[in-house]
Amino acid sequence: MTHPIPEDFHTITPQLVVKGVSDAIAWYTSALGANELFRNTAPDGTRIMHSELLLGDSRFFVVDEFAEGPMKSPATLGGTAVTLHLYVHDVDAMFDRAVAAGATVLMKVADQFWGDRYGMIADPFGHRWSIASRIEDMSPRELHERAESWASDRKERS
Amino acid sequence: MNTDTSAAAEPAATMTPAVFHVLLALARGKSHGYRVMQDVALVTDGETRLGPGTLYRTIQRMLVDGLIEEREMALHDETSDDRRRHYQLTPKGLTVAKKEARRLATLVDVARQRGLLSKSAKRGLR
Repeated sequence: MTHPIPEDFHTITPQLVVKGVSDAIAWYTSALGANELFRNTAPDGTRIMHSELLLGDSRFFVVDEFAEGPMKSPATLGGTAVTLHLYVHDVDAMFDRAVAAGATVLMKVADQFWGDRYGMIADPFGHRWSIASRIEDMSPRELHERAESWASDRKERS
Repeated sequence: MNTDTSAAAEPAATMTPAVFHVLLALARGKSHGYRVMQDVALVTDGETRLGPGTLYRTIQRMLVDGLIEEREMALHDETSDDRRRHYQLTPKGLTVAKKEARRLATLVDVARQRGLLSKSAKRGLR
């Protein structure tokens, strides 16, 4: 029997719309360490309407933009409203590698009050990624207290 | 783990049932996808069926994680069919398989001690 939820997928699977899927797949593969399973070409014979990549234990789809419809890339939209968040073993190594491969630094890697060592980049195709490694395991209450004290520090400084 | 090219591709912390099934199937020696699917049906008495999509996503992930490797021995008439590719456990795959088997055995021991595997418990499930 075919299971309604394929075992190797989590509930949420991002589908990234880009201009130029081949370049994007090459970048996600070399810069982020993703692994490509397959790609399907659209009826126009050039654009790629589906591809599936594995990153760590998660999968995501990368597709060409079809600007005549709702599938528009960040380049066409002039930005993105979504950040893809990655937890990895070594945030510094992953971040440095992505930046060396051409990612734009949006936030340098630093230890954050919520218990992550964390940084943020934009990839060459306009998608935003935050990359982190957990360094402290806190209860929701501790987390709340840290957030409060961070906010009041900020208020005093401004 | 191929540390040279994939900082992100660390072995996943979770082991899906399909990963353990493939490890179990390859513990008998090198095999190809179709035989792995048959083995899963065999060891679970037909209760679990590994479909070709799940099989190849699982195999991809295990290759990336360095648990298995592809054997370069496919005959020319076999290369067109993914299910005819041969795979075998890596030393790391064998270590992971043993560790997971011990972990499961320990849990099953506890389950038995706590009466979950008694005859009455079995009746309760039916």
